[in-house]
Amino acid sequence: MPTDPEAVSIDEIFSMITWPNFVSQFFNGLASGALLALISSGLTIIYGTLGVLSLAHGAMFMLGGYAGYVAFQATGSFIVAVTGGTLCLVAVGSIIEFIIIRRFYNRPPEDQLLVTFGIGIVIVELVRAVFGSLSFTVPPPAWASGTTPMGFLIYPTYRLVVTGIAAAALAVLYLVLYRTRIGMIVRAGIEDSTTVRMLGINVDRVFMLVFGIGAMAAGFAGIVNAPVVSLTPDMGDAILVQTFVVVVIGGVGSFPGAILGGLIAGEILSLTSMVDPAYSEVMLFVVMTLVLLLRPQGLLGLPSRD
Amino acid sequence: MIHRHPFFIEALTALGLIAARILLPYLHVAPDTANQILIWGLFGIGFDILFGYTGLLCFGQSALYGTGGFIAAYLLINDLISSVWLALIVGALGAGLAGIAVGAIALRRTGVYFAMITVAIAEVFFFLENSPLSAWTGGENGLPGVPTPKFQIGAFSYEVGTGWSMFGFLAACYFIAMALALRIVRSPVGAVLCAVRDNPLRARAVGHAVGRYKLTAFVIAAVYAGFAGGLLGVQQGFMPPDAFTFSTSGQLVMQTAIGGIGTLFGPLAGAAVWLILRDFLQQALGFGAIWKLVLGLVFVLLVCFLRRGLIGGLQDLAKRFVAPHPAAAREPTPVPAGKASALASLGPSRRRREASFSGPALEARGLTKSFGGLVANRDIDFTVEQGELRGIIGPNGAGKSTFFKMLTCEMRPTAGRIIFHGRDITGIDVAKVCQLGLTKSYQVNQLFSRLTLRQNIVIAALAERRGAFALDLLRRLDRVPGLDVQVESTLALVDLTGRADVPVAQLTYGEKRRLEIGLALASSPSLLLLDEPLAGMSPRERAETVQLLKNVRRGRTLVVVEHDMNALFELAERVTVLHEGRILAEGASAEIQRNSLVQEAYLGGDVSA
Amino acid sequence: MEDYLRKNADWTTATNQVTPLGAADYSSYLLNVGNSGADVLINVNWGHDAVLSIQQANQFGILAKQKLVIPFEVPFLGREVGPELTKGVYAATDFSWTLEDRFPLAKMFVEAFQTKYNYRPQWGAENAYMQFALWADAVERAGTFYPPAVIKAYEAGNHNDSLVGDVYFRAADHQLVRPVIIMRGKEPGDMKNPEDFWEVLEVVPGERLMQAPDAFGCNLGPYT
Repeated sequence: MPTDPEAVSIDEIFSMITWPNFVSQFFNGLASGALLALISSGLTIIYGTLGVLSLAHGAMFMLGGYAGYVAFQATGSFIVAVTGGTLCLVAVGSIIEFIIIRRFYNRPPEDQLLVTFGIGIVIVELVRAVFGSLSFTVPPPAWASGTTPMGFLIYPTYRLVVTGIAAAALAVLYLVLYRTRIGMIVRAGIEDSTTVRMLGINVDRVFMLVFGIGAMAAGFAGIVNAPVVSLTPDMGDAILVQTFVVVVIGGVGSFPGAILGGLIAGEILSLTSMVDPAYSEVMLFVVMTLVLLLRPQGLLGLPSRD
Repeated sequence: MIHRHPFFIEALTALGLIAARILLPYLHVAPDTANQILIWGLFGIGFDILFGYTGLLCFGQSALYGTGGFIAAYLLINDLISSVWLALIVGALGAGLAGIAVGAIALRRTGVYFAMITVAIAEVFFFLENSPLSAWTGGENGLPGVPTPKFQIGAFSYEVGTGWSMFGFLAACYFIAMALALRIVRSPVGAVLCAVRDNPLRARAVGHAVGRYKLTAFVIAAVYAGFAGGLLGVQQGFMPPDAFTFSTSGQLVMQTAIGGIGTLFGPLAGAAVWLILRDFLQQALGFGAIWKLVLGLVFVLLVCFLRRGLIGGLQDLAKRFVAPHPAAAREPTPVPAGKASALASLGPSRRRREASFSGPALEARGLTKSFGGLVANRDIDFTVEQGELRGIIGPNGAGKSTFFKMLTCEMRPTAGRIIFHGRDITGIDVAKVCQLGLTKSYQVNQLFSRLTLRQNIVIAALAERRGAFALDLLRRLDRVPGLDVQVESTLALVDLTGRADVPVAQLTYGEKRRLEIGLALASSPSLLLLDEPLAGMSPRERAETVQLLKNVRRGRTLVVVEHDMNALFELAERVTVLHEGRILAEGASAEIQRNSLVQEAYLGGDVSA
Repeated sequence: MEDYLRKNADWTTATNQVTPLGAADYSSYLLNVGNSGADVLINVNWGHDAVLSIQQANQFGILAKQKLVIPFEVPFLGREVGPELTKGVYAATDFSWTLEDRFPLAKMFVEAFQTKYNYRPQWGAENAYMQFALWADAVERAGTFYPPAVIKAYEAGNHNDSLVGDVYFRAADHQLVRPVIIMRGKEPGDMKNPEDFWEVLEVVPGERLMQAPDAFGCNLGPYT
C-alpha cells in the first residue's frame, strides 16, 4: 500500500515550532482573535438581550463581506466598502428581527434555533444565487497593503492593521454599551427584559436595534476580514461554530467575556495550527467542552444563566 | 394518535410502502431518490424520538450516522462479516455505543448549549474520519465496494440489486424500524420521554431519573442513525465521508421540521418533499442551484407558521372534523368523607413494606441556606411526627419556599441535615427522594401541559410502579402491573375522574390545582409537602380543597405552607411560624393565633379577628 | 514529481509543506516556505485551497522571491486570484479556451458554450462535455446501453478526434490517453479580453506522460 501522502512525521511537526513561526502565529492569533471577539460580542449581545441564539450569525458575517464588496466595486474605496457593508447589515439585522425573530420570543428555544438556522441557509443560498460560488477578492487599502519586516520574519501589513481595526471597533462598541443611554438599556435588558419593559421603555425598538447592532458587528468583521481571505458564500459556516465556542468560553451575555474568549480562541487556533493545523479546530472544541462541563457559566459569565 | 385497532398504524405503513412501490415509478420518481427517501426516513425516526418526543434538538446525528455506516462498510469490505444484515446490526450497535459516550458529555447541558455541543461533536467526528482514522475510513475518499445483501433460504438465493429491487429491501427495513419505534413510543419509556419534553422539572420531581431517560432517547436515536448509515453504504455501494458533515445533520433537522416534528413519519414526509422537490426544481423547472434557496424558504415559512410540519398540520386539520370529546364541563362535586377514606390508601405501595419506622416522619437539623451574603434560612430545627398535619406560615420573604426546596432536595442546604423516616436524605437527588416517599405539590402549577389529565397522573404513577428508571421499551403502557388501579384511585381521590381525558390546557384553574395535588399523590408518598395549595382559589374551591386535604391526610404526614390563615388553622393541629429565615414560634394552632410575636411579625395585629 | 525533478533535472527539495484539506490560513506553511531559501514554489493545492494559498503567498511576500508553478491549474483560478498573481506563472491544465485556434472542435464548443452561458468554458466544462461525447460514441459502437458491452467498446481503443486533439482509452487500466496543456500566465497588459489569463505554450501528447497501468495498484475486476 503506498504511503499516506498526508501523514506528517514527527520531524516535520517539530520543524514547524520555530521562533519565527511562533511569533507569526501569535500575531495571527491576535488578528483572528480580535475579529472573533468582535463577531462574538454581536452574538452574545443578541443572546443575552433577546435570549435568541442566532444560528444565522455566520451568514451575517458573510453578508457583510459581500455587501462591502459591492460597495467597493462601485466606488473603489475601502472606507466606503467597510461603511457600506456595516450599514447594510444594521438594516438587514433590524429587518430580520422585525419580520421574523420578534414572533419567536415566546416560543421554545428549539424553535428559535430552527428559524435562525433556516434564515442562515436562506441568506447563504441567496448570496450564492446572486454571486455564484466562486470567490471574490477585496484588496486591502493601499496604506495597509504590502509586508512589514519584523526582524526575522516578514508579515503582511494588513493583518496587523486588522487587529487595530477590530480593537477600535470593540472600543466603539464598549463606549456605546457602557456610556450611552441606549447601551444601558441593552445591558439592563440582558439582565432582565421584563423589568425593562415594565419601566415603560419601548423594548420592541430596542430589540430591533440590538439585533441590528449584533448583525452589524459580524458584518463589519466580514468586510474587514475580506482582504485576508477571499469571499465565498460558505465562509460563515466555520465562523458560526467558532463564535459559539467563544461565547461559551467567555460567558453568555458578557461583553468582556466575548473579548477574552475571542482572544483565547484565536490564540488556541493559531498556536495549535503551528503544530498540526488539522487539530486546531478540534482543540477549540475540547476546550469548549471542558469549560461547559467544569465552569458552565464561562470565564466571565454570570452563574444564573442556564 | 388513532388507536382504533392495535396495529392500525403499522398496517397503514405497510400498505403505504407497497403502494409507493407501485405508484412511484409512474410518477417518474427515480428509484435512487425513492431509496434515499427511505433511508432518510429511517434515519429520522430515531431523531424524531429524540427531538419530537423528548424535546432535545441535536445537530450531531451525522456523527452517529457516519459511525454506524463506516463500521458496517469496513466489516463488509474487509470480509470480516459476510452477512450484510449482521454488519448493519453491528454498525448500529457500534453507533449506539458511540451514542452513550457522546450523550454522557452532551446531555450535561440543556437547550441551546446541548444543541451546540452536539454541533461541536459532529465536527470532531468528521475530523476524526478525515484525518487520524483515515487508514480505516479512507479519509476523504470513503470506502468503496460495499456489497448488497443476499438472502439464502435452502437452495433459493436472491441477491438484492440496485434500483427498485433495493427499494423492497429498504422498505422492509423501514417497516421493521417503524414498528419498533411505534412500540417504543407507546411504552412507559415513551410516555416518560413526553413528560421530559413537557416539564423536565416535574418529571424529575415525580420520581423519574430524567438524566437516564434522556440518555436512552439519545442512544435510540444513535442506533437508528447508525443503521441508516449502514443502509446508505449498501444502497450506494460506497460509504461516503460526507455522511459525517454538519450539513447532513442540518438536512435531517430541516426535513423533520418540514415533515412534522413528533409524528415519527415526519422525517419520511420531509425527506420526500426535500428530495422530490430537489429533483423537480432542478430538472423540470430548470432552477439550477437555486433549489436549496427555495427549500430553505419553505423551511423557514413552515417553522414560522406551521409549527407541527406537514403531517402535524394534517393531524390538526383532521381533528377539526372529528367530534369534540364528550367530556363536557361538569361541576365537580365535593368528595364525601366516608368514600374518601377507603380511597385514601392508594394501592399496594412498595414503600409500605418499609413503613415500620416509629420515629418522626421528617427532621431538619440546623438547616441553613445562604445565597452569597443573603441568608434565606438560618439554622432551622424542625420535626414533624408521623401522621401529623403541620402548617407553616410566615410573612413574605420569611424563607418558606427555600425551606421547602431544601426538604425536597431541589436545593442543597448550605449547612444542616434532613432526616426522613430515620434516613439522612441531605443533598440526594429529587427523584430519589420522591421514590423514598417524600413529594411536593407546587405553588405554581407544574403540570405536563401537552398531555391530558389522565396522562399526567399516569406519568407520576409510572414512577411509583416502575421505580426511577426502567428500560421497558417494548412493554405496552396498559401492561404495567397495578398502573390502572393507581391512576384510578388517584383520580378518585382528587375527584377528577369525570374530567380525566380532557387536555390540561382546557381545565379550570381549580381543576388544575387539584391535578397538581394529584400528581404528588400518585407517587404514594408517606410525606406530602404542599406549597400554598389554596393559591388563587375561590372561597368555594378553598372549602373543597380543605376537605380534600382532610381526606388525604389519613395514613400520611402532611406539611402545608399557606397564607390563608383561616383554612390553615382549621386544617393543622400544630403550626410553625417562619420569620426572616428563622423559626419564630411553634405550637398548637390556637396558641399561635394568640402569640403576640407572630402578630407583630405580620404587622396585622390579631390574626383571628 | 519530486523524484522526476530530482533525477532528471537535478532539483533538490528545500521543504515539503503538507496542508490539510480546507485550511483557511496558510501562514505557518508559507513562513517555512519563505525561510527555506527555495527558488521555485510548486503549489499542489485544489480549489479554494489553491486560491487562498496563492493569495496568502502573495501577502507574505513569497511570490516576489520565488517563482510559482502550478502543476494542475484549477478552473477559474485566473479569475479568482487575478492576473497580477498569475502573470508569468507556469501551469499545466486539461484545457484552455484559447485552444480554439488549434482545434476546430474546440472552437465549436467554446462558441456554443459562450452563446449559452455568456462566459468561456474552463476545463471542467470541457471534460464533462468530452467524456459525455466519448461515452455516447462508445454506446453507439456497442449498439446498446448494457454496461459490460459499452466497457468493451471503450476498451477497443478507438482514436477519437476531440476538443484537445486525438484521444483514446487504454484497455489495461481504463484511463484516457490525452494531451496535457502547458501554459504561462499573461501580463495583465497583454490580455485581449477579461478571460484571457493564460498563454498556451505547448500541447504535450499524453502517451509518454502516462504512468504504467499498474503504478497505483490498479486491479480491474470482472465486468459485472
